[in-house]
Amino acid sequence: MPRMLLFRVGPDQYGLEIEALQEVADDPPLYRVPQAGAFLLGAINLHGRVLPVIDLAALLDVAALGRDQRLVVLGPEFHSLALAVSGVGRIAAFEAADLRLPSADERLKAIAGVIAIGEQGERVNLLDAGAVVERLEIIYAA
Amino acid sequence: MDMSRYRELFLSETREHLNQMGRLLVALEQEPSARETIDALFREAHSVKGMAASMGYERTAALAHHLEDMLDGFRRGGGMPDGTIDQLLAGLDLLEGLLEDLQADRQERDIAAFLAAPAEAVTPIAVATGNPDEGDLELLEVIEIEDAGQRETVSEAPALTAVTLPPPPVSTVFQVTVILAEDATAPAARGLLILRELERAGEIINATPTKETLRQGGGCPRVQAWLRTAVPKPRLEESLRAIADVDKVLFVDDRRTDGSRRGGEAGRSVRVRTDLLDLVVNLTGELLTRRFMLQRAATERDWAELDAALEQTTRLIDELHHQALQARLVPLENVAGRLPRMVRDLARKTGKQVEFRMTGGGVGLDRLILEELSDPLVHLLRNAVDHGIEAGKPGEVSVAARREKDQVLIEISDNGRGMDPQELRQKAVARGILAPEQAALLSDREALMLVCVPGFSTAREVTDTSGRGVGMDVVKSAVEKLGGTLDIQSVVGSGTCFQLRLPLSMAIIRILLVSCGGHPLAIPLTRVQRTLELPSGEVRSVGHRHFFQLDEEEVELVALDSLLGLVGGAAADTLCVVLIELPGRLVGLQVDSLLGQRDAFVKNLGFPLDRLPGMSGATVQGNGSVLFIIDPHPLLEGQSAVSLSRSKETFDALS
Repeated sequence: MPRMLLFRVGPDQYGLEIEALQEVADDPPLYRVPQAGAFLLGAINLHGRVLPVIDLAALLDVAALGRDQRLVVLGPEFHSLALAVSGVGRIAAFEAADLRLPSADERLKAIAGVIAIGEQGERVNLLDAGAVVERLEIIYAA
Repeated sequence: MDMSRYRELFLSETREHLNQMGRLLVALEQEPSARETIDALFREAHSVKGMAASMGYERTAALAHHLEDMLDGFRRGGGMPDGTIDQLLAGLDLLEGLLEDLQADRQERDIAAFLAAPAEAVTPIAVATGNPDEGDLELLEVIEIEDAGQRETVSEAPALTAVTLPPPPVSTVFQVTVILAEDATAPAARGLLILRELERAGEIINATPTKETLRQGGGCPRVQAWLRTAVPKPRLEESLRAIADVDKVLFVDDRRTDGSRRGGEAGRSVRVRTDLLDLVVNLTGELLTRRFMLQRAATERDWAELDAALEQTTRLIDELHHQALQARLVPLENVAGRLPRMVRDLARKTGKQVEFRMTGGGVGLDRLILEELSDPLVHLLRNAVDHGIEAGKPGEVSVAARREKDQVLIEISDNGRGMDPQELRQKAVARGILAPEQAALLSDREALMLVCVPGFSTAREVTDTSGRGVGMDVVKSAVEKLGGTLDIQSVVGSGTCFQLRLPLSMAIIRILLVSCGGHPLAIPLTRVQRTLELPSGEVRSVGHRHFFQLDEEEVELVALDSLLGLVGGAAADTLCVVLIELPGRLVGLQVDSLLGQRDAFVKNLGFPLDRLPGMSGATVQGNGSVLFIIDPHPLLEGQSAVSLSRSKETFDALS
């Protein structure tokens, strides 16, 4: 059964498929980036690689509601972006077949699909990591 | 045996042979009866044939064999009939095309049309597609593509096959997810069927669950795999849906872009001389010995011994590092090898008489730098032939390279009409780039650099190719991205010289550490002319701009923190200034404090950090902290462009 890492972005619960996750970085020191702009919080040194830290709430245009010191680091196919989120949660299994396709509005928030998990049927947005990269491509185009 | 391991080696060696063949063919054209040149060509073709055959690349081997036969015929016939050079060059292009196919893991393209052409054909093979000029036109169009910033090189898209033959099916990489129906019977067996179907379509890069898991009966409601295939998605979906219990088929395209391509660099190969390799191995051995010395000294608390061992270790590491960098150096020839051919083709196309000379082809540069240098060199040479060299006069174009301390200087010069700074100033005004008053203030050197402003062109008429300005901005930014500089010298009536100064290696550079807005930043030392401390009383302000007097020169002072959009530090009585030399002028960068120099191992930055202006890399310090390396050139030029355009608006508003 596929699994995902749950995390909060502002008031919303998101999930990232384990395949797209590189690791959860535990509070690495954040270094200031000159000319960073609003979506780039800084950079971290993760195992000797210098990675950008993206303010996911700002990028998705939702209220941040605090920030977890831990960072969600995407896999190399998504440029190993380190995502700053409001809270990192547990890893949960889900049924791919239960995924509902996102609405146009949800697509704007980089949602690849919506699913209800657990006994309470908690609503989770499956993050479209590719859409996050695409949005940054537009912002940082030439 | 898995031959793919040797593919990179085959490709790099074969490219060298093809470069050499290109050079020899151009030489042969000058002197068609040179027997030893034909012999040398024959040997090159023979080597390519042998290597391709041993790798099992049938078409590449067959084509090399065909060229070998042609050359042998000429050797027996005692010379080259007219038009055969063109035919051989077309064959060379086709060979390069085959190498591309092999590199991209595609099927080798069709060569039947070439093989079928009679060996004594008087006209170039491209005639088959119509107009005899078409081959050359194609070449120029390919160069135009480069202007758009794509990393294609001249010969990567042979005109010949592009026109005459259908393109081979292009395989793509994507992820496919097959979801089984909830009530699927024997999901493991279904999973195996799905994997088999995928295998039939192409190459499975990885799959979850794996075949083994499925064989052991591990059922799964879905199968996910990265697939490389030429089969179109609709057809693949159709064949997958034909399997019982398949509920959904989803595709995700490979989104890996530039970043991972650069990452792919790690898998590329470079040939290293064995004596160099031996040296590295020996040094490593000595380091091991030193480690035992260190361990013993540490356990025995023998401080004198510890000091000695540490000192030797440091020396060995320096030496090892030096040698390891040497291994990355590749002679300039490797990219410049194709230039004689290119100049020849361009000269023919423009109907100009051009002689090409190259010196210093053996100068070594880091492989990464060399690769990025290929396009700028092509641009500069094309400009030299197109716009420098005058028709009806004997033209000379040369590439000269030499070491200058820890840099390499490459000069691309022509003996053409040269560029007139005054004409450039007028043009900048006419184009609305500068106000007349500003244009008058530019030094001749600065005026020449105007050709690097995007969209600036000095060609009096628009030709089918381009004006001089096309691509020069691209050349300049490419050179700067590599940590180098571009300078232009020109004398009206006697020619133009473009000087590229490049670092030998990008991996380790010497940096100046400064504090700016309360944080440390690094500036490459190659960018720094010198540093100085300036009493704040010596700064003169004109509007928002600040200046100070340095010897005879008035130098503008720019605060680095405001340039970078950082919060400024507190005002001080003495200002720390880093003097930066831009083409034709000096600029003082004001920083909070100077923290000294040191060597830094440069890490290339990934997306989106690599998109930030002036950001040229980062280095990790001993304590693990990240230090960003700032290239002041694009920042200062951007700033002056902004201030220039702003003041232009002011001028416009006043007039």
